[in-house]
Amino acid sequence: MSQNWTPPPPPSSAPVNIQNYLVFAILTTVFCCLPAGVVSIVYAAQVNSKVAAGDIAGAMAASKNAKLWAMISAGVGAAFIALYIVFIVIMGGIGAMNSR
Amino acid sequence: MVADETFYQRLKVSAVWCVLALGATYLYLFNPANGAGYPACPFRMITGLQCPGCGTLRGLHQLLHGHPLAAFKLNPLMVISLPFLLLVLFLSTRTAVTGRSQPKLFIPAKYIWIFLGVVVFFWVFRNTPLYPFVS
Repeated sequence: MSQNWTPPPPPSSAPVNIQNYLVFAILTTVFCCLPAGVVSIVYAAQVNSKVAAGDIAGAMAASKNAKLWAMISAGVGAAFIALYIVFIVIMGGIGAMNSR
Repeated sequence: MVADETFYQRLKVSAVWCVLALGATYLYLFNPANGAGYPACPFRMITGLQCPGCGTLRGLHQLLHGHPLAAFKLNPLMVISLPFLLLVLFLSTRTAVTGRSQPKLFIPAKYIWIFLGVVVFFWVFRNTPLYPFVS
């Protein structure tokens, strides 16, 4: 009986898909927003090195941080752009009032 | 792939393509180098220094007009990272169209660390007088 039992296959080098948000990290760093996206790239690299090392819990934690920093970069960038637009509109309004 | 997952993937990919089409049209028509209603970079506005993303919109405008060299001069990092982003977009689109999940793209951590090094180096280097391009 015990001879028929086969052990479960050992985990491969990348057994689970843990999102590393690398695309968002690159988008927020190079394509818009704030350089805070750089922090997201650091965590993206950590996710993949921890996945490769089999540290799933560590990879999940790094994944959370990668997402968080990409969102910070995008959020602050968006807030800044919104403020900028408001500023332009207000300046335009003042300009229009002064010219009357 | 589960039907729900396929639907979600198709919705996501369609949304990305719509945003890309609108953005590319606007970028093609209006050159960010002339202002044209584009927001300024917050980092550059506050510090006066260039960030790794400065010149990306102007560079994309040049790329859309078929001038890769001009794009490279405005932001080489953007030109270098574009193929990777397009590959991810292509893979996601293929998954959405076929409805079958593909093996996930796994980039060895080593390459992400190298990319990080390139980003940080470029960030510093482009703010020194040694940097050959003006953007």
